[in-house]
Amino acid sequence: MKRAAALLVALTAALATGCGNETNHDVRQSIEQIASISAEAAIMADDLERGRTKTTYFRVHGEELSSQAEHEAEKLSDAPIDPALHDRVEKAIGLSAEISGAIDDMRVSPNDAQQARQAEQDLNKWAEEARKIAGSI
Amino acid sequence: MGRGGPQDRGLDLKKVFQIALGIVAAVGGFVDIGELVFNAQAGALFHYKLLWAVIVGVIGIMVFAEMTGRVAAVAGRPVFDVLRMRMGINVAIVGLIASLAINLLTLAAEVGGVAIVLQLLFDVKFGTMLLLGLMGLVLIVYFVPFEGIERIFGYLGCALLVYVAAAVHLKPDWHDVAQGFVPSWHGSALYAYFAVGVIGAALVPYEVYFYSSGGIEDGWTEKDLGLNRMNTILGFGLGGILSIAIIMVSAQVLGPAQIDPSYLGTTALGAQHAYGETGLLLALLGMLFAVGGAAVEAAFSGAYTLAQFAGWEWGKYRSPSGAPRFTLSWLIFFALAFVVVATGVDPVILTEYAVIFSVVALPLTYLPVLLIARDRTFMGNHTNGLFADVLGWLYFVIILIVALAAVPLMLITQQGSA
Repeated sequence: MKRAAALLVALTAALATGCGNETNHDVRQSIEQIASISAEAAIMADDLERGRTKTTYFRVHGEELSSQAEHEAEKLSDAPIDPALHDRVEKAIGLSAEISGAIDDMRVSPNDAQQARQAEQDLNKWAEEARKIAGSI
Repeated sequence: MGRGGPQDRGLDLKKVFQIALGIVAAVGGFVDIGELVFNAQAGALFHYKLLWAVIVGVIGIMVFAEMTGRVAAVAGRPVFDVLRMRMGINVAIVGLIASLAINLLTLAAEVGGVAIVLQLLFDVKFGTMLLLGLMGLVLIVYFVPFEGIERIFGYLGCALLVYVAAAVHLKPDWHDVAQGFVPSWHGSALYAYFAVGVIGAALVPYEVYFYSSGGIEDGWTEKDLGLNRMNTILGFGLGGILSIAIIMVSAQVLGPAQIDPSYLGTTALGAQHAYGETGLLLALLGMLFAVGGAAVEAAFSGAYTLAQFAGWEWGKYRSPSGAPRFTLSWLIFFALAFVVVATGVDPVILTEYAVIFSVVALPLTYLPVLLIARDRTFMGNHTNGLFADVLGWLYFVIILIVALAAVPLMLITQQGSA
């Protein structure tokens, strides 16, 4: 009975604290989200460049992704962070701003194929960079 | 699955086309807003490894939907009636409250989903699309007869078949796909969460509340047992195929890029990537009617349970003045759903909660169905055969396991995000 109670307390504590590493876990999760957004926006940019999308869809879904990237950056900025992670988090916040900006530029001029091509390359590169940062945490 | 008489063996060709009820119930249940995103997440995270869970869910809903349709056709009783009769008033009250709460959550999510799809199509503000989408749904439900509603949402929702074409077009590794149909254990809570979610989503109670009451709306009798069987096999089979296709497309487009889908727009990206703008438009059209169908299903399901519990006149086949409280109920459900979505809550998150909490209520829904479908007093010669009985009890055990595991897994995985 005592063992069961101890197990229950341990499980509750683990759930409540996210296994004792909540901040790092959240930071990593946010940066993974940024990588995911960038990779998705790269696919959208590729379809945009090749005229394989609908402008309304691109603008609306692009806005969702751009806002999400900004939101993740805000979360990173507000979170109490392990000092050892400071530089990496700053880098991720910078990437997030770049990603959001690239998506917004394409939303403004969806018929600019050259811009979309450049954005696709950049977004793929930023996705990779964000993944590396997340992987290092 | 039941012991059918000779009358249910012969199906005329006309009835082959009368499977809209099964299609709308299945398309609404399997590919509503939550499942569109949930299946895409399952494919992106685990590639083909959760395809088996879709099959487990599809067979389960086929088994129980066939029973509820048979009970409706033979005993003339919809599921909630059965629940009250077999489990008593106290359990029925618990069932009613749970069902109404889950239906409202689901309806709010689906109405929000309709607004999102309209926004993706027309790039107009979400609030405007929410109002227009809601008005469109209410007008269709008010003015179009039940059979027409089934056909509009069931058949137009089939535009989602673009995912089936895309899944093949993207040239998957068929060996990996085949392996995905073999149940496997991945050893992580996240995998278990998605497996439970995929199985549970196929079995959500509002599908059978809607399906059995819909059978009565369609005037089913013992002569329609073959039609019921065909509805469950073809309709729910189609829902399963769509789920599988969405998982496959996601595994091929989103998985390799390590994209974590959280939006309906991300699910649509898979169809666009395969077929360009045409694929995108078909996906969005299919989503609009699948999610719209799920909204109608949830609104009716709520009104059916309430009316059947209270003993009111119910049914879309009656005019609004012939079943005024039933009509008022589904109108109020739509209005409440509008209020919930207008608060700004994310419809996708809402429906994921609705699915997980529905899973907890599954045993309460399916046990009385199983008991009455094998009760000769009610079913005469149409009680469960051995095959239906064995499958029914086997699935009841699966349902119990899924129901017990759902909430702990949701907490441990932080709703699939950990």
